[in-house]
Amino acid sequence: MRAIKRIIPLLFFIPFIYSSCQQNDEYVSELPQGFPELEIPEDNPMTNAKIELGKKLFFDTALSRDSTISCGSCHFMQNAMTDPKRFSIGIDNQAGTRNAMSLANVAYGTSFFRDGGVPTLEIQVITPIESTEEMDIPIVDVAKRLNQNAEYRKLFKKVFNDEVTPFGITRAISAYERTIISGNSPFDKYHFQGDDTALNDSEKRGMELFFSDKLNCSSCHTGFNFSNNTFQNNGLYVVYEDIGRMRIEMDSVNYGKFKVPTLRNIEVTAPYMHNGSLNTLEEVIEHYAKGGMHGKYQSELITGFDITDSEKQDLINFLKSLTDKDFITNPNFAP
Amino acid sequence: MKALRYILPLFIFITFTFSECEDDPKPILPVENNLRLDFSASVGTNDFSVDTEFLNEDSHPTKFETFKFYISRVTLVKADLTEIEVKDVALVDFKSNFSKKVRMNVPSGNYVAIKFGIGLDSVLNASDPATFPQSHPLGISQGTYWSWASQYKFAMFDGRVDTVGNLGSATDVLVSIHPGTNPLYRKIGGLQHTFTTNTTSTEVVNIDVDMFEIFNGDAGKVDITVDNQSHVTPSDKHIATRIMDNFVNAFSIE
Repeated sequence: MRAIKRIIPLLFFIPFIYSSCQQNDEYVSELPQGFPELEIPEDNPMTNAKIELGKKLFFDTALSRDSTISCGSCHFMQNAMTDPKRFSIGIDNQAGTRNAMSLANVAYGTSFFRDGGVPTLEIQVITPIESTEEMDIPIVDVAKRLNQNAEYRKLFKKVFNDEVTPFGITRAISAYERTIISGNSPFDKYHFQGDDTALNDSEKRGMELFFSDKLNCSSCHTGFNFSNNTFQNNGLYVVYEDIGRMRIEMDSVNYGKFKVPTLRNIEVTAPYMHNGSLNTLEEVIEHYAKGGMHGKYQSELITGFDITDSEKQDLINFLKSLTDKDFITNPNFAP
Repeated sequence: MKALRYILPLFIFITFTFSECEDDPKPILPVENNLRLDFSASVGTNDFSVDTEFLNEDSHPTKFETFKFYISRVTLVKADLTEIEVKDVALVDFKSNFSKKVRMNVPSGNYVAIKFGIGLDSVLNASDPATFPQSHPLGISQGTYWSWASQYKFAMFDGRVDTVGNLGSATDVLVSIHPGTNPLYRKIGGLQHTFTTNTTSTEVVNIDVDMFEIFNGDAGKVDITVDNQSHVTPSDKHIATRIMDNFVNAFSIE
């Protein structure tokens, strides 16, 4: 009886220890002011261990056929998780056909890739791994390969209570990608954090221009992430080599349409446009000031505008105020 | 007590011995899959197999290394014309005899027709392949997923056709036609066939699919010496569409 008396309180205590261990591993995101809550899929709750595993996978070249390319080969911290090359170089030195998009705030994406053909971050993981131009390996084979690795076996057991599986790979990487949050730029400090000194006069003038009806930038580059997540033909060409969203939707209405990208950290994400064809912010502003190339399917929002040199400089200064230095130096986003 | 030690095993032994000799009929156990759709393919009056040369409708030597397609929402029609869906999805793959057979459990009864879709309806087509076991028809290892579009290929015809009389040489014209995307989902109106299912045996229905019909049916001819590549891009979608329109009429019950 004495022994039982001692054991019963212990039995009550054990579940508490266990549940507190579980709670400790739950990822608590510290979202920037002004950012909405993240929507986390039910089948992919975020835990610290899963995010850590996702980061390891993200930067592991074992996820490509010849073990030369990782996700991180095309998304660099100092470039706000983009690639400074016009076209990223995939397996066998193959160049892609589109400029790598920023992963900053990808957690808020409603569709993925330039043409938005993929609806979830989890499914998105499969695409570059299986693309013959990028990593070129069936994700099933990646799972088999990683199952040969004792450390991965241990980590997947810990996170998913399973061996390495395509499910686990997609969930871990996307959980990590949801932590790639950028929202502490001078603009954020000024607009969301109440620091009136965070922007100088030129940047403030540029901000007014940016949000003005005259320039109309904010018709598409709007909201906390400077994107309305729509697809637009921005008049870069009359005849597009890459038909963009039309490849997905199959209708000419979507000819040459690409996803409106975030403008956060735009200073460090050159080159610009879906195909990286413009090298500087000056070139981009000139393109829009000119009103595009007036193709049949060009967005009606691209109408052109007059802008003086000093206004142009103010606008560029404002765009540069969207650079989040904490983000582009955050070691969590580097190998 | 010592005597009991010897008697007890003896008693157990006798009991088992007698029970073995009893002549009771063995109970009839329910069969695991009481309906099987066995698919076969033909080219006109000849049998079709993957990796086997045949003459296409223009008498060009042709060979497919891959021929597989999804059927979905398999539905049985009863005599009173009420319908019951009995299987959500199956991948019919001609790479082996096993993968050409679609197994399912259906309620016992009399049926007069079978309906199914060719390809996947929009719900199934929106599936995340990583969430399925590898053996599942929608699993990522089936090689049927277009990750760039987050959709499945509804059918795959991969092979080669010869136009100069030397199949298997460098002059072969390669064929890769992969119909897919929601607008290309097609439904078979109903293959008339009267059959009965019960719980103790497997009813087998043999369904043939005619390659000639797929490539030269009512919707028009697909000349694979010319129209041999379709991954449902705007420029080649017409090929996949014609294939799927013909596919609907290519099935018959033997």
